[in-house]
Parts: sequence; structure tokens; C-alpha cells
Amino acid sequence: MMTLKGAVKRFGEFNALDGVDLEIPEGTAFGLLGSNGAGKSTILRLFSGIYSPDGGEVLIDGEAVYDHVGAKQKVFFINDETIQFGGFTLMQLKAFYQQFYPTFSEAIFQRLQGAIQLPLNRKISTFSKGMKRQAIVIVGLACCTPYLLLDEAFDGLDPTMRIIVKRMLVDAMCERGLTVVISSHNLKEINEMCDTAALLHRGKIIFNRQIDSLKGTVHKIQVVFADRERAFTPQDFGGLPILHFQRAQSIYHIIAKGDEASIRQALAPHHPVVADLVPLSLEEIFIYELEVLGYDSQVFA
Amino acid sequence: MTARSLPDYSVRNARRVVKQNAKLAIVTCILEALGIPLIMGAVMLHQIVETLPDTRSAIIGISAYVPYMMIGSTCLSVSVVLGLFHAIVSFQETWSRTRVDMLYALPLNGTQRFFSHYAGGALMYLVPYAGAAVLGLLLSILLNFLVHAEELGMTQTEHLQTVLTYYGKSVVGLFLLMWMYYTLSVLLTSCCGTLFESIYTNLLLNLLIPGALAAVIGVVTYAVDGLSFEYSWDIIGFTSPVGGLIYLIVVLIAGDSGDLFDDYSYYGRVYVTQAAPHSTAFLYLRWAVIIVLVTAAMAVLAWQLYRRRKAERVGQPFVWVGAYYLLLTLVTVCILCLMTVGMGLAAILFAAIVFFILEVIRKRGFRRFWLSACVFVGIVTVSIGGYFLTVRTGCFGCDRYIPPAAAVSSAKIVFHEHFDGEGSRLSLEFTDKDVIRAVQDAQRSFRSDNDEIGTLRDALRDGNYFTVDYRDAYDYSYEDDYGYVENSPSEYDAMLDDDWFTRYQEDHYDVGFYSFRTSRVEIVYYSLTGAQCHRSYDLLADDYTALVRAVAGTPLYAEAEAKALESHLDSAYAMYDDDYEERRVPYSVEFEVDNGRKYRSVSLKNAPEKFDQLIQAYQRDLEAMSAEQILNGETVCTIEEMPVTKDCTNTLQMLTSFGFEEFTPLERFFGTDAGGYYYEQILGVRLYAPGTYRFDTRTLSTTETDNVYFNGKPAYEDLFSSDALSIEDDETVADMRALLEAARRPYSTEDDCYLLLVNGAYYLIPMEDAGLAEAVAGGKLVSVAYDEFWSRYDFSDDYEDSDWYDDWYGYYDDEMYGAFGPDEDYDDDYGYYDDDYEYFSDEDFVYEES
Repeated sequence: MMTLKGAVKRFGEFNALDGVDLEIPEGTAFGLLGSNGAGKSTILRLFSGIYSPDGGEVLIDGEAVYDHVGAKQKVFFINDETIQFGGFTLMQLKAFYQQFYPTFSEAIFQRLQGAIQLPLNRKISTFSKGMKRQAIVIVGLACCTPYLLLDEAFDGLDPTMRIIVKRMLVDAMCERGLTVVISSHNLKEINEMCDTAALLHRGKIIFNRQIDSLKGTVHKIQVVFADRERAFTPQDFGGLPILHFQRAQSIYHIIAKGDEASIRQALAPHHPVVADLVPLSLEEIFIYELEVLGYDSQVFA
Repeated sequence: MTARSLPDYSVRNARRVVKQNAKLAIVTCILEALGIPLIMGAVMLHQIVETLPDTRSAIIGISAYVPYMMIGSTCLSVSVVLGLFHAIVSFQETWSRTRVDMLYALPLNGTQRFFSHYAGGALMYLVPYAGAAVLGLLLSILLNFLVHAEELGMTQTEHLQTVLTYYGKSVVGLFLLMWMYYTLSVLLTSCCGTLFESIYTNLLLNLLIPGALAAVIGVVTYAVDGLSFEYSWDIIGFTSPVGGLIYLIVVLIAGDSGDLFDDYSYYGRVYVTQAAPHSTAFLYLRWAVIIVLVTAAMAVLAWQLYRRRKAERVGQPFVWVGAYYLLLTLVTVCILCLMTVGMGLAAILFAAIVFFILEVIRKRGFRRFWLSACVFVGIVTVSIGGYFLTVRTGCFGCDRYIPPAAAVSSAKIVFHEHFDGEGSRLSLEFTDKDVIRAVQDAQRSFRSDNDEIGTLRDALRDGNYFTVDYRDAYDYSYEDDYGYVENSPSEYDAMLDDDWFTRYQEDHYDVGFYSFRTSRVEIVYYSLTGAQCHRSYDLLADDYTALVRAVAGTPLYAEAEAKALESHLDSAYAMYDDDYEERRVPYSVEFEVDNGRKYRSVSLKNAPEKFDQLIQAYQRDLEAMSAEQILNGETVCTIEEMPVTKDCTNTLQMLTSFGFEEFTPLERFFGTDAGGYYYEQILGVRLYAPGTYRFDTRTLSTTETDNVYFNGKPAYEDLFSSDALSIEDDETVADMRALLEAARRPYSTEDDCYLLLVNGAYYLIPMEDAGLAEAVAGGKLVSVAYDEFWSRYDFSDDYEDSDWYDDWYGYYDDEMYGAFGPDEDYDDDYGYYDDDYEYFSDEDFVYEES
């Protein structure tokens, strides 16, 4: 299990993480969502032992990560850049990581490389962006660490290759219980890959839940009330946690947290004539959650 | 899963560093392969051609090895400098944002990462050097067989041994310094966060550490009486690679290479009675151990800083700002040292400009510039304040410290102005406790004297920067191609054209800088551990003589003086090549007798061993004589500049056997105080009466300052000035003797005094002895130097310079200068005369081999 306990990370006067608590169980496909600068990459670097926390604890299987070889050997981190591998060939890159990860599987490497057919002896700097990403993912998976951290994992991959990489990851999860932590702005990918996701904003976790349950707890409602002359406000619906409230003539568009029954119960006193409840996509949840926190695209409208 | 130990990962990572930087390693290998082997090849080639019997071959050979030496030196220098780049590429994670994630995420902790990177860089840097050193060694051994060692007075084995000793010291020393340089580069790279800062901080600090230390120590030792700049070697030589390299070359290798390369060493010729613990080998070992310890300390510091630096700080100019502030402080202090050479505010302004440029570079702009200004003011204040505090307290009491004799293993005294004939300083080193105590007593005595004098040293220093208005100071002076005369009669003024003053300044710019005639000595005490206590003094004649008295009469002194006599004779007299023996031998000895310039010479053409016998006799005499006999005995003749007293019985007997006779005591004008230099026979005297004087465009009375007799000397009324006197009447001789005996050491007073300059040393004549001074000034003295010439110079319009020789030489009789014209080299009756047109004959006394 990967754990953050009250983790704090500061860059000068900027608080990248502000007392974050997080647990990622083994075998999970965990998605890190968040606005730019929310602290996603910082969490990945803390888990991979690159950064030392300024406060709190960063643990892998109960062992602090920073400067601890045992914990670091369980993690493979693929960051959002590939320029550092430019001087290697794929063979050299394999050899490089092979010497540090005793769990490295030549068989897995051969299988994955064979599937993608990446050139083995060409400098990686001559690869396309997507090929570079594939190369490091192959090596990362071949290292067979229990935890794989991917920062902007699918950036630069074409649709076909996305499917292939996803399949590789899913296979590894199925075969050896790989825990994958993915940080991405591409919520569709997270939605497809991950079973759990956490939303970060300004160094704090807004929510951390299973994606399926997340989807069932936020609804978009289109409702028309019997009293068409009255202008309803969010306060008229009691304790219903409303993320978004908009009126277009007699139709109200409401985004609210809660299950369908509780929402309908909150609307009932005002005699809705029509009330359609639609589950939100992850992207919509992302947008509306952050809108509540002031991270609103409408500021430029 | 395969289990691997942690060190295994470090080794793998080190190997990874080497692999990834293979190109740099290859370049280093090539440079190293061309470096030491070429240099050693050239050195051995030099040895070979220099020892060839055929001179022509040797001349041709010089052009053959010099290019290799240059190529080798260049390659070696470049490969050494590459240490910086090895450090930088081995620690890419410290300055490359793209590498930091990759390398920090590896399953290595900070310690493993540091040492594996450190080892990887060191391997690439030092192993090629070691390989090249082995290659150079083999080359030296092979080429040694081609050297004609017997030409150097050695056997082949001895020559090889000498070469290898020298080679070993150089190669091992350079290896240690390269290791230190690499480690320092790693340390500084660990402190920096960008490539630019890594490179420029490295380059600057490598120069600034020894440079600023030298500047500060130089400034402080210059200002604090007694402290010696030589102290700095123990700081500069051990604290930085560049300083260490200077120490290695100047002190450890050059000082020990006389056997093969030259006869000069940094400390001059050293005579040692017995093996001292600080012998060059010991010094080398001590230096090597300290270099290793300092390097290890640097490595530990680098490791700790690296371990503690945060990955996210890469990209910041300085991760640890201590390195930056060290750089900033050293630059500022270095420039501020210029204040002591009269730059004053200009130095502060210059320092400020450099300081703020560095600040703008670091901050990438002008952010919080007020803070920079505060830091600058702080550094300047602390530097200047620290300087004055250090100087006022005598470097916190260091200047007064004299180690107890019991703790001293040996004491070395270097007489800076006591040269032998080859230009080496006389340097004596004693292990005898009695001599050490005597030296310490003399040292305490002149320390105490200096306290009485007060600001004498300051006054001496002021003299160095004292400027004189030439027109005023030399109101009645003029110059032409032959020199100048002070206080010349005013009727000569008419001869001066409008440009004389300009020409005078151009030709005699240094004449206006009146400096006291003092002699520098250094005293070094060595402890059993090799620690040094180094003192340096500018001594007036009396103190100088007192110190000589402390060591005169010892066998070591006798040996040194005999060696000095030997080198004087070797260098002073003509040598010739004996075609048969292929040796260069001196063929004549010449010395003066009586109190005039009456030279006699004897030819030893066929008996060079007589030279050695004379030197041995001189040494035996000095060994048998007491200090008093040596210093105050009646001098009956001199051989070159070396005095022979009536107690030098063996020497006189040897000279008599050569055919010399009539050893009459030379006239000496030495008073008890105004002793001058203990063996000088020629008296240079100037006498100044009290009056007003000019100082820095101001006219002052003699009572305006305590140090008037030091600062005000140029404008004293010059009563009498002469070099090399011949006093022609007994009354004046008596007056002069009385005046010299009345002369006192300089002291602070506001009373009027006469100022007496004797052989460059200043003494005071109080007003109570004014009569003596006036008597000497009014006495009849005839000089044989410039004054005499000018007194005979005809300044009429039709006077030709060509008449000069006739007037000059014609004045004296043949007994003194011979009867030769200036264009003749040889006279059938008298033989050759020397370059100074001073008479000698090879017929008067000729020693014939029996």
C-alpha cells in the first residue's frame, strides 16, 4: 500500500501539498486528477523518492520512501518527459534499468517489445514522441516493480497505441497485481483505466473515491417546477449539496451531490413537474467540483 | 528475484557513469597519453643532448625536444583542467532538470548515488593519468641508458635514481592535486544548481582561494612587523589545488632539483648541519598527508551537502549559497587589498562593480537589490575592520610569539641580502640549541629595539611611497648622460635646458623614492611535527650585525662563508676551457689590499686545486675564530667581497704561498653604533642638517611630526654627500670617526637633529654633537666616485665628452688605474685590465705549479 500521512511539500513559499492524506491499496489503478499545479506530479515524485516531504510521511508498504533503497526498488516512475533517454538505445535503456531492478523480466521485455516492434538499436532521440513513451513504458513494465507511477502516461500516444499501452497495464495488473498510479489531465483515460481517483486542488485532496461510486453521487438534474412564476434559489432545497445551479426560463439545471432518492426527496416539496436525473461523466464532475472551489472556466467568459 | 547487495548497485552506477561519459573519458585518455610521456621523453632527451660530448649536437638537440615539451605540457594542462568537467558530467542531476527525475528515482540512496558518481568521475579522470604516469616511468628508465651520466658527475644508476625521485615527487604530487581539484569541483558542483554556475564558480574559486589568501596574507604580513609572507605557503599550499601546485613546484620540487636542473632553490642555498625533520622529503610527506586530509574533508563536505540537497532545487543558481558568498567575499576582499597600494576609494568602487555584477547574475535581475547593497557594505566593513584589527593587534599577537627553544627542532636564518657569487641567498639552519637560543635572544633584542623606535617601520614604508617634487628637492641639481649631482653650484643651472626635468624623471623615476637601507632576514623555527614559525624582519645595520654575531663562529657559518667565497671566485673570474681536460677552471685570484683600490692578482692557471685549498683554509680559519674575531677583527685584505682578518692565519699563509705580501689592516670607519655592514670597507656618507623639508607638496618644520627624521629626510640641507671616500687628512678622519661614534639609532623626537646616512642606514646626531657634524661637513674629503668626477668636469662649451676618459683616469696615477686608454684591452707591459678599467696585472704575482 502507498500511503501519504499529512504529507507537506513546499517549494519556497508555495505549498504544493498541504497536509495530504492518501492511501492507495495494492492492485489498484489509481487516477490522480487535478488542476494545473494542484500537486499531482509532486505526489508521484514523493512516492518515487525523488522529493523528500517537508512534513508528514510518505510510505510504501509501511516503509518511508525517501533515501530508502528497499522502498524505491518497489516503484518505477515514468515522468512526463522523455528527453533524458535521448542518448540511449532501447537496448541500452533496458540494460540501464536492468542493473538496478533485480525483478527485471527479460521475457516481459521481449514480449512487449515484440508486440510493439520498437527498434532496439536506434537512439531514442530519433524516436517519435509516442515511441519514446512506449519505450519507457515497456522498460518500466519489464522492471516488474509492484508499483508503477505514470505522469501524463498517455501523452503523445495515438489512439491505437493508447489501447495497446492500456492493455499492457491491465495485463500486468491482472497477472501480478501491479498497482498503477496515473496522473493525467485526460479524464477519459482515467475513467477507462482507473477504479479509484482522487481530485487535487491547491495541494489538497477534494475527494478520493472509487470512480463508479463517484459517478453515482453527483447528478445533473433538469427540472421544471409547478410554480413557474417563482424564482427558486439553491437555498430553497434545504441541505441538498448543489455544485451548479442555473435557470433557463422555466427549466432549472442543477448539479447536485447525493444519490437519486435523496435528490428527488429534496426537490419534492416544490412539486417538480418534470425531473430528469442524468449521471455525470468524470470530466463534468472534475469541472463542477473545481468550479465550486473557484476554479471556473467562466472567469474568461 | 535476484538478491543484490547495496554496494553492488553503487559499483553498477559508477560503471554507468563511466559508460555514459565515455567520450570525455576517451578525450582524457588521449590527452594523458600525450602529456606525461611526451614531457618525460623531452626531459630525458634534454638530458641526453646536454650530456653529449659534442657541443654542436647539443645545440641542435635543443630544438628537437622543446616542441615535444610544449605539446606534452599543453596536453597535460588541458587534461588536468578537464577534472572540472568530469565532476560536472558525473553529477548531472545537480544541474540538469531532465536528469534529476531519472537519477533520483533509481533505487539508490543519496550516499550511494554520491559515491558512485564520485568514483565514476574519478576513474575517468585519474586512471588515464595513472596509466600515463606508468608509461612515463618506463620511458624514463629506457631513455636513461642513453644519458651520459658521467658528464653530470654521476653514475648511470645515480642519474636514474635522481630522475625517478624527481619524477615520483612530481607525478604523485600532481595526482594528489588532481584528486583535490576534482573533489573541489564536485563540492562546488554540489553547491550549484545550473551548469553555468557550476562552471564559473569552479573556475573562479580555484583561482580566488589561493589568490585572495595570498593577497590578504601579503597585505597583513606587509603591515605587521615580523610576520612573514612565507607563512602563507602553509595556508595557500594546502587549501587549494592551484596553491598546492605552486607549492609543489616552487617549494618541494624546484627546491630539491638542484642536482639535475639548477643550483637555485626557493629558500636559497641551504646548509644543514644534520638531517632536520623538515627536510624536503619530510616537507613533501607532510604536504601530501595534509593534501589528502583536506581533500577527504572536501569530499565529506560535498557528500553531506549532496545528501541534503533537494532534488527540486536543481535549476536554482546556487543550492547552497555558502559557496556563492565565499566567492563573493573572496572577490571583494581581493579587490579591497588594492586599497593598501594607494587605490583607496577606487578599489572600493571597483569591488562594488564586480560585486553587483555577480549579484545580478545570481539573481537573474535586480530583485531585492537593497539586500545586496547591505551585504556589500557588510563585507567591506568587516574586511577593512578586520584588517585594522589584525594589524593593530600584530595579527592577534602572532608577531611577538617566539617558540620556546626546547620545542624547536631547528632554526633557519635566511639572510636575504647576503648573496653568494651565484646569487643564492645565504641560508643557515641550526639544530644546536645554544645557537637557537642566541638567535632568539637577538630576535627579542631587535623586537625590543623596534618598540623603542615606535613607528619606524611605518616610516620606512611611507618612504617607499614617498613622492618628491623633483624641482624643489633638486633645486640645484642637474643630470646628463652620466648621472646627476645634488646641490650642484647654481652656476650650472645655466646649462639646463627646458626639458631636463622631464628627462630626469624618465631616467631616474626611482631616485625620488627614498628608501632606508635595511636588510631583510627571515627566521624560521621548525617544531618536531614540522610546524613552522616564520618571521621576517627588515633590520638596520646594528640588528643585522647582532644576528650575524649569533651565528658567526659556528661550523655551519664557516662552511657557508667558504662556499660563498668559492662561488664568488667561480663567478668573478674568467674561466677557460681546457681542451685537454675538458673542464672549466678558474685561472686567477685577485684581491685588494690596503685601503685603496690596489689590486693584485695571481694566476692559478695550472693549479686549480690551489683554489680549493684556499677555500678550505678559509673555512678552517672561520671555524676556529670566535664571532668577535670574525666581526671585529682587523681586516687585512678581501678576496672579492669576503673579508680576511689577521686571525685568518691559514688563509694568509696560503696567500703568502701564492706570492702575496704586505697585509696591512684596512682602514675602517665603523663606529660602535653606525657599524654598517660588517665586512664592507667602503663608506658612503650623507649628512643632513635640520631645517625645513617638503612632504607631499607641503613645507613642514621639523617639529611638526614625531617621525620627522624619517619622513623628512629628502629636504634636509645636504651638508655632505659622497660615496666611496678617500679621506686625505688625518684631522677629518678623526672627525668622521668621532661623528660615527656619536651616531645614534633612529628614535622619535621633536628636537632638531642632524641626520646621518651611512652606507644606506640612517642614524641621528643630536644637537649636542652638532659641532662634530659641522666639522665633518667642513672637512677636506675627496671622493673617488661621481663627485670627484664632476669636480673635475669642465663645463665650458668647447669641452668634449671624449676628454672625459683622460680627465677621469688621468687624475690618478698608474699605481691605481693603470696607464691604459679606454679602448685598449691589453698592454704589453701590464697585461689585461678588466671591464671596469681597473688595473690588474698578471705579471706581479704568478703562481707557478711546481
